[in-house]
Amino acid sequence: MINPKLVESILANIDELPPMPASIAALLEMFQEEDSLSAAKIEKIISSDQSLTMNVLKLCNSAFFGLRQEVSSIKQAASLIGFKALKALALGSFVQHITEQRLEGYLIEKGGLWEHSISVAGGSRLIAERYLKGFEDTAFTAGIVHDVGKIIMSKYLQKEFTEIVSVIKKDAIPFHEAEKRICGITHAEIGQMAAERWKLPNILIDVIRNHHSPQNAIINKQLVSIVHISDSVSKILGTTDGLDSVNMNIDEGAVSSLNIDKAEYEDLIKRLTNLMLFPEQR
Amino acid sequence: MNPDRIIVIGASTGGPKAIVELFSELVWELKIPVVVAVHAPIDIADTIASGLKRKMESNPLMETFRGKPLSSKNQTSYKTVIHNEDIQGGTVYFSPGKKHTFVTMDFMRSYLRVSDEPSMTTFKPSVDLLFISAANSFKSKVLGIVLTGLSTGRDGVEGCKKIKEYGGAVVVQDKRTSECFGMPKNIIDAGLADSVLPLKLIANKMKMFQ
Repeated sequence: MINPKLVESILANIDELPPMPASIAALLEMFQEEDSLSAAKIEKIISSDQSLTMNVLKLCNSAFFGLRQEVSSIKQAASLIGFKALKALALGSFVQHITEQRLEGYLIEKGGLWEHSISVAGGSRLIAERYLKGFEDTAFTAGIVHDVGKIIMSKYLQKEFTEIVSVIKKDAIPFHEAEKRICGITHAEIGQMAAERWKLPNILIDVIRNHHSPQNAIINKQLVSIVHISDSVSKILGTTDGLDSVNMNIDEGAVSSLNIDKAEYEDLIKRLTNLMLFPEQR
Repeated sequence: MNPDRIIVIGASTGGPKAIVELFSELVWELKIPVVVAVHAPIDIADTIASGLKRKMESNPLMETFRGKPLSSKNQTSYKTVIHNEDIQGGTVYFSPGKKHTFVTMDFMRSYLRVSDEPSMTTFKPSVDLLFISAANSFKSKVLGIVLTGLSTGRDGVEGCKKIKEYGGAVVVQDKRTSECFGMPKNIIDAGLADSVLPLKLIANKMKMFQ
């Protein structure tokens, strides 16, 4: 049953969110820009922040980004992956930092939410490469941020944990439906508020809000569907720890919205499975 | 040659990743058959089998005798079950998605059957049906392993009971390394688990069993 005081208390704690670093906020303001002046500015912003540079390069070299050569400078990264992808990685480094903690309310170990997010980001990029060309880097970014709401939601879930587990087992529903039933609000809704606070682009907020209900997407249904599919597969495969991977299914509407036929679907699942279970083989 | 013992593995939520991690620990020569059933709403048996094959082919065997490797190449086969195929040692068989796999023994020939029946089971492939058929066929020479999974439906409990009735052994994954501890816990609560172990030590148990 919904507890209005719990919802109020969760909403009040949006203020506890760590602020977005100025360098990343500056990059987000240029999220959709792609001209050469912006490129020079982006390179300058990232390179002037040593910690950001290191984190961006580390992400660039991760298996999920799929590069076949080691990247050792922002200039090199920019020439290989483009500035839009660089912006994605900069945001990714911030998300990695804030998702480092253990999330007791989901039984997610330290670093577990980040591992899941990067897995979903890689999967989303893979799907977009075929079914939403031109949005590969946006899909990657959306995958990285899709579950930010869990950071806030976790501590409130701890109190309701027994009830949530009980309803999941009894009614065989996914975790986010149990969140709604017991707490009156989901991590997706909380995530939307957090994303608005951080002034993330609306296209990303749409994904954060609707990745469990892609039929409700407002700005880009295909992008939301892509992240939904990647998220669901990641959980089915168990490449994410935590109780929120139980009773997961892939929404058929999400698959249809990408015009994927049966043979293509099987091939897509195979490619996502290979990426997520055997990233070293990419 | 007909194998004289078999390992059967069941898993649910978190299963695919746990299976890959478990078999990544098999850096020794597998001589007996292993049959795996994982609950999943998508059919990934083939993909996991071929991914493991590629992964393990590039890992040299770590067994040595007086400092020299016993064999340089990992010969373990990984494949999806084909209906009516003979069971071979050194092979890991994955039950295809949304079908049951049964271990069968007829006149000294052991083989695997795949079936849609019974259709009205909570899970397909059923861990219980796999484990029960293995116990009926191989009697006491069965090691049953239950990995991560939610506890809904209690799949695996009846199967482990049958294995123990025949004198076989049961190992379950521990809480610390399980994504969901429900399935292993059901086995522990029923008094059927001989060992509760992390994945790495489950791999050791498999080696000791063969």
